[in-house]
Amino acid sequence: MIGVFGCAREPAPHRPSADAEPTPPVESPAIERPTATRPLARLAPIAPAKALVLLSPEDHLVRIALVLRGARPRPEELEAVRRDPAAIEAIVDRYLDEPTFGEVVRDLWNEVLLLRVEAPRYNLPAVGPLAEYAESPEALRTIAEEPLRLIEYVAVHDRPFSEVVTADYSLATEVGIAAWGATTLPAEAGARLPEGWQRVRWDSEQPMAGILSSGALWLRHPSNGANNHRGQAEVIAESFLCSGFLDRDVPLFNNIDLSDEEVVKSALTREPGCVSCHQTLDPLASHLFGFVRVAPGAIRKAHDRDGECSKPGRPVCYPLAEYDPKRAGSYRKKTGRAPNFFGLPSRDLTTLGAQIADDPRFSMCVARRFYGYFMQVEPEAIPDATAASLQDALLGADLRVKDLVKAIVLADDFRAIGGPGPIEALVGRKTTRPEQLSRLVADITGFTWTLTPANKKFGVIDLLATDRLGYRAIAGGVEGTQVNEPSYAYSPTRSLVLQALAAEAAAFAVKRDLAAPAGRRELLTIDGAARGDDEVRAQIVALYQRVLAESIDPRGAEADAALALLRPALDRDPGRAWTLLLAALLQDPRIAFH
Amino acid sequence: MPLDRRRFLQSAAAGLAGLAWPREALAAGDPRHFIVVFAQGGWDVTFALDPKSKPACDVPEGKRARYPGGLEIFTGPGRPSVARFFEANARRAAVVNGLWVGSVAHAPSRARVLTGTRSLRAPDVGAIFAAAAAEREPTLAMPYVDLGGGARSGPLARHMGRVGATNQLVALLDRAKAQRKGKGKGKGKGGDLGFDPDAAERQAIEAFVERRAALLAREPGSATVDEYRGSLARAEALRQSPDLRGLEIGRTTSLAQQSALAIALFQAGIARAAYLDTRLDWDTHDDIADQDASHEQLFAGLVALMAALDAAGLAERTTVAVLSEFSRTPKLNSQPQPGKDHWPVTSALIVGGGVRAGRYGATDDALGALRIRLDDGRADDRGHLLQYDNFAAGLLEHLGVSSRRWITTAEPFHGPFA
Repeated sequence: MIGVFGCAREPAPHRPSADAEPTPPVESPAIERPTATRPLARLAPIAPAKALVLLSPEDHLVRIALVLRGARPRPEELEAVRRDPAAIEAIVDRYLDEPTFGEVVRDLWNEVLLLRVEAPRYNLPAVGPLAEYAESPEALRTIAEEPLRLIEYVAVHDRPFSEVVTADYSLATEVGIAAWGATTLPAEAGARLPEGWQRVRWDSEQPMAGILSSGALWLRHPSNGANNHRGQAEVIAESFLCSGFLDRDVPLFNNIDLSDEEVVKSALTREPGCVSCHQTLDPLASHLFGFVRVAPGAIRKAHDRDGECSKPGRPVCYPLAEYDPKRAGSYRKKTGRAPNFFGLPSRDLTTLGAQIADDPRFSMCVARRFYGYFMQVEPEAIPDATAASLQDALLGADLRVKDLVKAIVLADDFRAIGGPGPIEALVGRKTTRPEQLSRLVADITGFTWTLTPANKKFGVIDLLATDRLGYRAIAGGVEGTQVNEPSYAYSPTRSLVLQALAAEAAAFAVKRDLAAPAGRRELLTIDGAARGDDEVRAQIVALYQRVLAESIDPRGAEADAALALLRPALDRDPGRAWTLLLAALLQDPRIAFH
Repeated sequence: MPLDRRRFLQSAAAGLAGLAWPREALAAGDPRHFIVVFAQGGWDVTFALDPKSKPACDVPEGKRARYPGGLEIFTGPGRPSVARFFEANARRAAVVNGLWVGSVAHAPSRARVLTGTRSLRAPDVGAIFAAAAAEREPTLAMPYVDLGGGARSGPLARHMGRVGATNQLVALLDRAKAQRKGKGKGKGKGGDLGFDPDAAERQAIEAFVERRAALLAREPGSATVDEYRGSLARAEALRQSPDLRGLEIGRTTSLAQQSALAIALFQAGIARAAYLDTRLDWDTHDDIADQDASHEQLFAGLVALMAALDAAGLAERTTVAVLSEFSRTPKLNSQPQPGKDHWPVTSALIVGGGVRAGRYGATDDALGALRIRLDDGRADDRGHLLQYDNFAAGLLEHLGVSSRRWITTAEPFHGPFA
């Protein structure tokens, strides 16, 4: 039994990033003649512009700000777009250089690589030299986050995205270094490393090839039994080439014993039904034979109560030596197929990474994944013409994904909310993902929804980013082992998550602001004792603007509806009344969708 | 147009009254229910459902036992509950062997067995059945409840609710209760509950949000907003459920706990389908003996589940499908502690709900799938391979739902579903 019974929240200070700054006053100077700094590639539209129903420029900016910043546009940005819709391009350039964009890139690739999972079998235990982190699960979680951090680093530094599979360095925290063993490298000039992260080279002598060299990636996607790294080859082919093998059937056979390695080895080179896949799958897998299976349960068992590891030199003691160069050639005995990339000779992980990067399927796949994430469509459902123009945009930008993302979010496809026939399924209202919801509510209210159970091994739990105690999958997110696809529909349980979050965040913000002196209030600027109709309506207008990015008439129907919700309790308990209204606004469809 | 709050709450009240219904009160028009019990990781069917012998297969200690209806089951001293289950349930149990999955990877195999398609994004049989039930009974608050964490709703997500691995949904339904417990134990941080609106306040908020959603839903491309509107009243109906609110939270739910909750939600008229997970790791590449213990726990849970369905008077109207994504190789591998790897043929156990008892489908001595007749499930060299899609389509038809919309091309398997 874990030591927590309910769901509590830990009001957190504002996020350190720019999106957590107190709302600037509406009167802030507008952007004067904003200048775009990045090229803008024009994508092939999913449908003729006249056939699409487009958001207004302001609402388009609201949608963009949500997906790139997890926040509402700043007032001066909205004002700039109101005055000149073309200003949106420069604003997007700015968003792409803000820290949250890196978080978005990590979120996107987590949906592909499924790294943020909580099952113990995919997480290294806090024993031996990692025991000091036993009560710092946040630190331990950086182990799984490492491949995503490298992807983020490549993206935010405007490097060719191919570095994700070709980089001769990686990133690690001190926990990751203790776990895997790594040598730190000097920071690159002008590069911004996340706090606590360093550039490293792994000590286990694996050839360096971006995240393909990552022990954390293969801890999450292990090769079991007689799988001979084929599952890992599938991860590579599906994630980076969108060309996986698993939608093909294994051939019908009643005479091949899969547990007899020699029989299988023979069949894979002689049975036509087997050869058709394995002639490309197995050579891909042959690059990975140096990786040793890392089993968290075995690591735990190998450590005694004093933290000593009983089997030094084995891949159960930290640092793990997850790669054994002597085993890199063991494919010869296992499958008999030398490393090879879809028919092209290859030597090791480094050459594999280079070949992936040069494969046109890589740029196409990356482009589809970014578009699919923002559009909330399956990558394979993207029309070919659109996909081709996405690929052109990425190649035209020398594989820099910021330029690709700019092209995507400024395209009419992304701006559309309606379209003809089957196009309707590809455009339309987007559902706010749990991680986006978390950022948006934090931006608006300063509230982050966390839980700190009494048992310190759980640390601080982000309730919208976890599943054992949190609500990530209930809220439509990807849990990573059983729930591997996001959901964009609202179920009753998903609505309950939003309702609870809204209530907690509203209470936090109202309590904070009513206790603050005038001038220090962030969201609710009205005095708690104020009852005057004009004052109250002015506050309602400000709340609509800040929470929903919606301008309303203080004497219009919206303000009247809000007032009707507010009035019954306003005299008796103004704090409760404002909390009620704010809770309602925070579960508004303009929060649930974008 | 989404249902309004009053209709939902009236429905919920009627459902709660149903908790006291005597068993004989169930009449011909009473709704059907469906439960999936999933063994995630790949069970070894030679431990119970598809008895085999050496030398073609490495098999555990045990013996073949015969039960009414022609069922032949492998039982053993390490898994006595297998025998207990079939002694009590053989007359209403069907075993389907030789079910061809066509994959040996977990995720696609799971999708195939559960959905009858290759798509990772397709709805599973439970979701399709629940959606059909929701059409007949629009007041169902959560037609499909995912208690095990692996249900697949695809585009039917609006009909499904997740409870969470540790019942954390309860903390959303009853904030005050969660808070009291937290304080009472002196545990947790951030214990002051910010705002727990009372019923009238929730109603006011819901009306406010519903009005706003109705406005937005008029715009193009806003079908999801309409679903959101519908979810508001459903959420409130869940909040009224004493079964959900009464759950213990903070502990991973066992199969027995999931079973009890599923039945309670059926009785309360909240759900018609439920997805349960055994909470066991069946992926025994190492140490095949773990299968023995897992079979014992699974069948002990199934004994309890069927007894509970009997006690609730629901067994005749509830079809229980016990599934796993694939089986394991006939022979042990060469790991230090030998286990078995993945095998693309599996079995299924179907119990209750009017299923025709007996054994269907066929495998050879080495666990290879044999061709059968899809109408009665008997082996026939000129017949068909029983594939995952035939099976899922047959199961859907048995549940009274046309399989054509979601499993478009497969001929339904009739065997136990006649």
